[in-house]
Amino acid sequence: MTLLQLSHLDIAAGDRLLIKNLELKINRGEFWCVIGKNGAGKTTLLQVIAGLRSPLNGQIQLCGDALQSTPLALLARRRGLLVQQTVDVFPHTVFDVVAIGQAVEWTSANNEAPRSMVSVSTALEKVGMAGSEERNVLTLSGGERQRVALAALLVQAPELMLLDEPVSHQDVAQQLQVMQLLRELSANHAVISSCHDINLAKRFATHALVLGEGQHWSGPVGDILVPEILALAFGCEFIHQGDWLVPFQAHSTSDR
Amino acid sequence: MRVDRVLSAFCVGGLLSLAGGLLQLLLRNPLADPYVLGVSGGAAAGALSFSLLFPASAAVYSLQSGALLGALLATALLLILARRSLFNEIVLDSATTSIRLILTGVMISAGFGALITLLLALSPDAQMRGTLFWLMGELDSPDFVISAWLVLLVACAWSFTKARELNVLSHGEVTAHLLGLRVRRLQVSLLLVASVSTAAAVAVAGAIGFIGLVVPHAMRLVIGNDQRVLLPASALTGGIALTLADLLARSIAAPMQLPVGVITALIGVPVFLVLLARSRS
Repeated sequence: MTLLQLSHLDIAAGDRLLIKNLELKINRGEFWCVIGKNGAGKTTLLQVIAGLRSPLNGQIQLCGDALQSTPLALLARRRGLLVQQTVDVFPHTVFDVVAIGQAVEWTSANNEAPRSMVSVSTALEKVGMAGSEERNVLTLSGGERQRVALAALLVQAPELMLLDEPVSHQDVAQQLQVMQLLRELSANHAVISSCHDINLAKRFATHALVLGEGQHWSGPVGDILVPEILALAFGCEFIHQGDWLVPFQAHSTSDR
Repeated sequence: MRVDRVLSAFCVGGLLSLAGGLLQLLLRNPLADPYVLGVSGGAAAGALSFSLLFPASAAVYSLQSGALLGALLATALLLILARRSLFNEIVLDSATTSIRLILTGVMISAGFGALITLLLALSPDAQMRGTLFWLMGELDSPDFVISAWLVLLVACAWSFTKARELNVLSHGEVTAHLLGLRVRRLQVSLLLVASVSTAAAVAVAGAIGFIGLVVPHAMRLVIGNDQRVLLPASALTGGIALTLADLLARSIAAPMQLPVGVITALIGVPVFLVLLARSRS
């Protein structure tokens, strides 16, 4: 069964139409990277799929049900979102922040099948933060905080995992770790992640959605992450250097 | 020590601390107090209007009724003015709701502040002095105490049954929404419980400051963030703190009796500054 199906989706922010007529089917076992320049609609798209905002037009089906008519509590088991920035005000422990993912067990109806739970310590281990349970979140670095939020998503364990730039605060080694983890997760879940690093996406993702200039391209990474498409989406040239895609010159005219 | 006096001090301290703790959570601001949304301004304006309108019934009772009505009016105003944030099902950014609520509360306070000045300009001096003293905090009158206890019990029961959801909400409304909570409903109920608690406290004893700000904040530092423990502990500690402050107010310059609000402010200000300095380090 298709886990997520987007049909005729139009997405706008304010009065700006960002994405027009998006058609997409996403299944378990797939790891999608959403790529596009700033303001292309990556975050907005993830928020729409998470049910945080409504699309302008079109339908979203998650696990066979229309997104808008799915009860919030059931939705919490079906989709989770790692937001770009988490603002903490209270001195919670890392344990508290990660364990919050377990709330889906009591917010959702009792007739849902019990699931095997990922423990807080296992989740922290997977994101490279083993043994940090008692640390105060206000003292974490941006990268550590982001990985703690990722651990909370692992505990929530929704069928569809949405991630908004999960490697933006990570050092190079951690970028590889996080992408590898997402790749492994996509064995049992569907993963959609926005990402600015085209080469990381090419290396770890199975599929890509490229957004740019009111157009979009979607499909297996090998077909989509090619210089011709990227040049259209970003307005700069790309060349191959070995396996790497390297941007080298901005078009002066198409710059906005 | 008179039992009824202890009963009203304990109840008012408990109500203010519980309301403060709840609002700190709602506004995601560990330094919010029960009056931040304009309830005390409404209470002051209400008490002054009543003492001006019904001077014959000189009894404190009319001050208290006025304060209660003013506090409830301020709450109603807040709900109406902030309805766009509070009843909008779209949850995208935790900061927006709290900033809008705080700004609305500041404006409500400013509006009532102007009304208070107007009332003071219009009214005879002697009478106003008494009203203003009462607003600083007086635990003399037994009126409303039973109702206030009822409010405290209901507010504690609500907080306790919702504590688990409130724990999730303390991580931000987007997180809570994504995890399946009906965030707006929880926020509006919280706002009502906190506002009615504050209004009840003000009706008994005027707008006593600092208890509702310092106690929940200090308790959070001591026992942590679990609302199942934090909220009842704040109510209990607030009750004890105000009882002790009242004891001081009556004994420190005996036989003269100081307004208890002066004592809570004199102790509260330095304690608050120490907490603030510590929280930065």
